[in-house]
Amino acid sequence: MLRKMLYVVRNEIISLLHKPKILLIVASIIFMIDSVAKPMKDLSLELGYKLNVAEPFLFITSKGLNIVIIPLIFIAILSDFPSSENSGYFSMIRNGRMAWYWGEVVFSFVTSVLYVLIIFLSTALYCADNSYIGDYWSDYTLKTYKEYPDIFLYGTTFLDTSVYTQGTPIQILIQALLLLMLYTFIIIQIMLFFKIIGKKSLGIITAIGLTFVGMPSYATTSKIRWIFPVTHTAYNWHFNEFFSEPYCRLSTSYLYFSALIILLVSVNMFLVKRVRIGANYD
Amino acid sequence: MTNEIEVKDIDLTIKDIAILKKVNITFEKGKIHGLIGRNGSGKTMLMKCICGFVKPTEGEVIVAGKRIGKDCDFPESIGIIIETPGFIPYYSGYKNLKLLADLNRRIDGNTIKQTMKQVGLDPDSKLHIKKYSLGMRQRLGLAQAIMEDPDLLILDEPMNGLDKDGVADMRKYLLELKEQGKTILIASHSAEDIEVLCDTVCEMDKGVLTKVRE
Repeated sequence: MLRKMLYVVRNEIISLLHKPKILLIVASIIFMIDSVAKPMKDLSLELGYKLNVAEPFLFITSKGLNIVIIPLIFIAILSDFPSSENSGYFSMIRNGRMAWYWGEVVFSFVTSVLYVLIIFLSTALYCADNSYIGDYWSDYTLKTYKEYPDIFLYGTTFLDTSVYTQGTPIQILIQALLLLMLYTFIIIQIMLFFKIIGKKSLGIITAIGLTFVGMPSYATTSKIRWIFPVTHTAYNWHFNEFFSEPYCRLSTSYLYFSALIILLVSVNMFLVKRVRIGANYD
Repeated sequence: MTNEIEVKDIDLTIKDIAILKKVNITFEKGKIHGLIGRNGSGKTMLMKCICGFVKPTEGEVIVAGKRIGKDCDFPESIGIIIETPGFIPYYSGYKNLKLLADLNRRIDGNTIKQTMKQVGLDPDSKLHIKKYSLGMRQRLGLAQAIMEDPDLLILDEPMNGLDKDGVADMRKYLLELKEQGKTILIASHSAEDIEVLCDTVCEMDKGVLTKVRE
């Protein structure tokens, strides 16, 4: 079983690496660096502060637009998922349905983790010459508002208080990475579900729709926003900005994501034994 | 003579369209069985039901004594060509077959090379599949189907894309396999292929199967 699963994972990786869409990762990195890491780095240099290496990434994951763009690019990169080479008859008849399915699950997990790590590492590397590794917030984050109030007032590259008042940089980095990985993993499971039932295109539309629908969450405090998985993805959306009180506990978000994953994996496992292969596999 | 395949009263309806209607047939072991019919008549779907890719709405398929979808997902000793052969386009023919063979570990590299030569392909060629012609892909598809020496072959339009020599080679090869006791179910548009190769012939028309030659 393990050998067969690894075959599926390997084929998916090979297939992904050979597609021009993989270059979207580069586009994603350029966008994040250009819109966040570069302005942060430039301003910190100008003010004479060093950044904590995690801060650019935490800034990215605390903004509504980025929380939508990161998954959207991920969906675009994996829009062919699962690849037709893997779900072809030749490998399917030798692999069996379950080995194929679990191989795709492992691949989607690996891809989610790598994608988020790549974004984090690229911003960290870009700011490496003016940043430090440590579990304490930078003076750029903590002191600018006192020492350069005018700059702080008009600056757009400062972390929200709802981010840095909740814990140390490492604690919050781990949470931010995990939440984003869980979200990307869930959307890929949704795409897998639609592929299994033979409606691949609908899977892409649903994944994009779910991500977009969650976007207005940023602007509202209504409880209904916690229905959407994307709302649980941004660490700072869990807290009130001024008093740092939780709107929604992080443990609730992890429970929410876990329940969704268990549900999707169970449904997919049930369906994969029964659905048609090739009949209406678009 | 024992039956290799038993198709028992299968119906298949997809999106309210009846694809197969009460198909009831047995295919004996060690023979070549032909399936003819127009495009969209249900030939490929019947083959997919036999392979286990598609679950019939009603009825059951038994291959080598095992109920497909109940006792097993797919028949245990089967080789297939259905629709366009799907390989990893960035690998050579040999590497593709090696990867597939490694899943079951029934054969080694030498057997794969031998099979490729049998179907007229160079196993040492580094040419990627994406640069293969349709005929070469079809030959590789056949190599993939037979390399593990299965008892049952399901071949949907195996002559597609083959030139005259290729068709002659394929016919000769299928007859050799029959001599070895293999059961072959073949769908083809070519009346000549069916005439030359098949012991029994069935015709599909709008999902209904009739035996036209015993």
